Amino acid sequence: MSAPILSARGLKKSYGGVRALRGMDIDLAEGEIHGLCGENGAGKSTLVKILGGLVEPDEGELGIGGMQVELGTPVDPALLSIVHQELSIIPHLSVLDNVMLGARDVGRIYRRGPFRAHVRQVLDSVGLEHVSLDVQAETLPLAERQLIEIARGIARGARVLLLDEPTATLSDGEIEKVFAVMRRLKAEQGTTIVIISHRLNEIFALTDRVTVLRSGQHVMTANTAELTNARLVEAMIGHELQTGEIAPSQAREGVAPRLSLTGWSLPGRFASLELDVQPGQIVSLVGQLGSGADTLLESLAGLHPARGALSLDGKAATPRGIAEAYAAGIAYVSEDRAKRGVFLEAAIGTNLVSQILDRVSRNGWMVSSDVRERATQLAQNFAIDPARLPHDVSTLSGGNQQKVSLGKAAALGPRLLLLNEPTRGVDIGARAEIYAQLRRLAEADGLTILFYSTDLEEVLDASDRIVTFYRGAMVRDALRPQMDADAILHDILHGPDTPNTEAAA
Amino acid sequence: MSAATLSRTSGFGGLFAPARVQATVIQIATVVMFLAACAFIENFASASNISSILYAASTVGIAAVGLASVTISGNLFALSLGSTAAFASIVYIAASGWGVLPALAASVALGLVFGLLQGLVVGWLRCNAIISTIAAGSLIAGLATWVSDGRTVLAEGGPSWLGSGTLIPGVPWQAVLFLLIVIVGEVLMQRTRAGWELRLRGTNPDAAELAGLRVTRMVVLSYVLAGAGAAIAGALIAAQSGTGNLRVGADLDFSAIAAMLVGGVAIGGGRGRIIDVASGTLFLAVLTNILLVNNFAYEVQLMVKGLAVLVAVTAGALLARKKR
Amino acid sequence: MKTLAENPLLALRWLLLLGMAVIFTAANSYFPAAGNIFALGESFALLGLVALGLALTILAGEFDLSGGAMVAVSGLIMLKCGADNAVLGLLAALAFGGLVGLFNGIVTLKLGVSSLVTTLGVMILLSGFAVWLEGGQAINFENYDLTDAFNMDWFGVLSPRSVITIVLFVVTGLMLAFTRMGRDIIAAGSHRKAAGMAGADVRGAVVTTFVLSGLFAALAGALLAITLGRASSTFGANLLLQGASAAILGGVALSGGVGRPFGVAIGVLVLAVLNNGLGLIGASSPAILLLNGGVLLIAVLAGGAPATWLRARLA
Repeated sequence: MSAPILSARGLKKSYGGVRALRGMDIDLAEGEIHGLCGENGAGKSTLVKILGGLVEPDEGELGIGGMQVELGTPVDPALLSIVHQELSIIPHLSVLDNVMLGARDVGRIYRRGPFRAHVRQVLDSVGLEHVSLDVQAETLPLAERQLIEIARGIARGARVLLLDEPTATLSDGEIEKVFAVMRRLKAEQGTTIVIISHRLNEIFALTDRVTVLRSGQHVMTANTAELTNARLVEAMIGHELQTGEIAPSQAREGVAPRLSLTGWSLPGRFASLELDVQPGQIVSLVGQLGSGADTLLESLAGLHPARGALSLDGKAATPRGIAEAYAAGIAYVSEDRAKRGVFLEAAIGTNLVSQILDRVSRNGWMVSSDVRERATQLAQNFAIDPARLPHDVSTLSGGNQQKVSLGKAAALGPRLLLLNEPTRGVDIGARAEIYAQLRRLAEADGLTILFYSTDLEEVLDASDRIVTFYRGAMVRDALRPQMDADAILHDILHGPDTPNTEAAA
Repeated sequence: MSAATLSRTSGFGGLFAPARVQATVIQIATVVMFLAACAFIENFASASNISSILYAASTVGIAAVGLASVTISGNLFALSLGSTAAFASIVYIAASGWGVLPALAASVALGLVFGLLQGLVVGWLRCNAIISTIAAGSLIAGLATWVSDGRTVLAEGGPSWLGSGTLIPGVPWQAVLFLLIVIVGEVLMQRTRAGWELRLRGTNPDAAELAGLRVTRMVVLSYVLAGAGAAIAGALIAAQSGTGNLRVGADLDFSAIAAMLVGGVAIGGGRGRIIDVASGTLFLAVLTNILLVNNFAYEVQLMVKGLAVLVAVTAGALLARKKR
Repeated sequence: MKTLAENPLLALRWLLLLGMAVIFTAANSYFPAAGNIFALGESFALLGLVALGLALTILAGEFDLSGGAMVAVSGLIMLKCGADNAVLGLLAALAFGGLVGLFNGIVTLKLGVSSLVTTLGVMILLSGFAVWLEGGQAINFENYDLTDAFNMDWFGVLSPRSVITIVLFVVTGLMLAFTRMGRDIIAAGSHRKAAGMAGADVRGAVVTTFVLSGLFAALAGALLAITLGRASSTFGANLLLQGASAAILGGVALSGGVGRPFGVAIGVLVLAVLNNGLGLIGASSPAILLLNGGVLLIAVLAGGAPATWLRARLA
């Protein structure tokens, strides 16, 4: 291997008593695509922040392009640029200003003209041909903002481009476009690309080499071609994944449906559809953003005013608002955990009972023994340490925060549980625990679960039944054993196999 | 143990948890300052001086307790308290012929109505909290000017027990009322379902709404409480002086905010307790009184109060960071 | 109809401004006279500078409560230090304003405390400082030539103060639109964390807005003192709330990142015209308070649920 474009030695970083990185070495070869894998808390994000100069490590050295870099000061974005996991798009700036934000070649007086052509070209390459340079970013959907974020990284022409979970909010079609750009950057400009992803299929599809981190330490670096999925997972979690194949429960004959939708539609979002779901079934609604699948899920929770009839166990129960949904026995878990899912700055115990305050109070007075009992029980059900109940949710990892978010909805004892992106940003270990708990709820309590997900692995792992959507219409409704990744991708990217659609596409 | 099991205040360590450290430090500082002043300053511990501290603290403190419900529920602060208090002072004096309690009830009713209207504008119509209360302040002041014709109204008869009566020498009835309001407020906020919902709304309004909590009702409730607190404060000032006019409560808005912030209530919502409001109020009242009995001028008192806000909040932030 | 649907507040403030101009002209023929326009410019200058500084801090996601008190302090500094040499007084006042702004900015950033809190402390501190500087009586300015110079009029309607204020509004507008700092200020207010991650100079942007806010308020106070020939600790009263009202009326969103100096200028004009006109027609003091509150209430309703409802209907 020729001299590495980036070379880090002995990076160490502690936050308070927590050692996020315990001596990390990494070398990046010029023009390679390098995957960075590890569970949440393994130190990936800390590593990325140190490489970008946003965090100063306690110890260690870093060289980029053969030069020693001063640690803890932002690196020239023309040398190394980061596409962050959390969107760093500014809602009230134009698309052009967003792409140019932070670039060093903007002078004190900001002349936009010279940059327009270049930014236009980069936006086109990531599939944003239809987006104007001068429109405010806040008017764009989430997926397009994510693509602008990636465009910013590309536009800076950095020799090293770091992408921290760039695809978390993207549909598969969009992901393909982004990957095509990555491959082209590598081939044409010799850009070195580092990608962090929880989706292992992406790692295998895109990368040349993979580095695995665990508990703040380097575990291995290997050529991707020589790795298997199992080997990679084992390196990440330190042992073999023991979930096994989750046996999907079969649809039973002659059981009355729990949820029944007739003529359910939201003009402009999804067309009229019929759907029956039995008690104990876990159904995934799959589609790209804008396919109507996510809106359908939200409409069931009363978050959109849909037309048609919804009945639960044969009784009409169309919710006109979230409070009515809860009262009818429909619970909803938001995809935006930090903003809408949990109360980060309140105790875990308080969070768990926050949706059943009427049941742990009497005549308006909280009953502390009931609070403690319910919170402890919920914590045990969702594998949260009961000793941590008095601590704020913000002290938990992403995976455990998601468990709190689920636990507080499950506390309602609903008949229908709606989950929007049930494990976004959750590491593999916690994912398995969450799937297992959902399965228990479905089997033991006969709970019906509907979830929307853009993550194919999740859809295939966790559901009994898969319903696919394309441009506001249902494409296919099939049991899990009859579906595979190819079939799902075909449905959500191309729609149904009718001569009409084929011709239109 | 109580409902506090699920908040981090239980146990000795909880007192110095990052979220509570400023409140605890101010509580200790208030006690230390008070004892030191008793020991070293002549006449400080006299009944008349203690009672003047408590008079000052009671009015600001009651308004601050009401205001804290707005802050804790996540709507920063209200700027209509001063004019509500002014209007209430006029109503109290005008109604004082009926007796102390009916006059107090009339003032409180006025505060409840103004609070309710602001609560509906902010909670139900979802208008900007700060600007709504600035507008309300101007409207209430306009109404009060119109009703009183801009003149000071004078009470008939002599001073009432609420104005100058004491439970024991040094402890005026107004201070007893303040104490009662603090206790009731603290218990309601920590132990009732509404209190929990109000605090949760303050930590994250969006999540509270999606969790199906009664957020609109809580916001309206918080403004009703703030209106009532300001009205009681106005009535107490009127009872003390025997006059009601538009200048009553001129400094009330910012004094109440300062007391609340010094006590350790977070401006962003969700964090802080009603007892913190009380300790912040007492801290500032004792400090101001120490300056007063040492013959420092009004401007020095103002500057020290400003510094106290800066130092308390700065120290709170630094201590919290160190503990984290 | 389209602009009304998209931004009811924008249309509303024009409607208010023009409507008031028509009504006041009809009620009192002196309203559109040059002398009154001159007086309007004077009140625009005072409130405008405070509102502009405040609006900048709101734009950057902060809030400077100390502007009103700064006007009083800087007026007093101007006259105390500028009794012999006016330039010296002006420089002292501006330096003080800038330093206090710098302090506000640095403390807010360093501690990660809400600027509502830090600037509230500074506001109380400054009010005390103003009373102390004043020392019990209003201070008079003996430099009559300068006072006269500041009271002259250009074309009958423009005063030096109003020209300076208009120039500062234009410069601030250009700064926001065409400099890197301006873009970073909007970014810092719109989404602070994202701006930092993307590499925008958030710290610089926030400190700059506080310094500018301090400078603008200090300038407003100093110019007021020169023009009136005296200064008092009571000069800043009400300016803070009026400035905030003007900024909001001008389309500045308290959540940050939204609003431009031009809008703020219109907001300031609405309040200036309202109070000037009410004074001219001899409105009573309750009427003035009620109408001020009413205008603000309309503005606030235009940003709430009723406006959303209206927008949905019109779209």
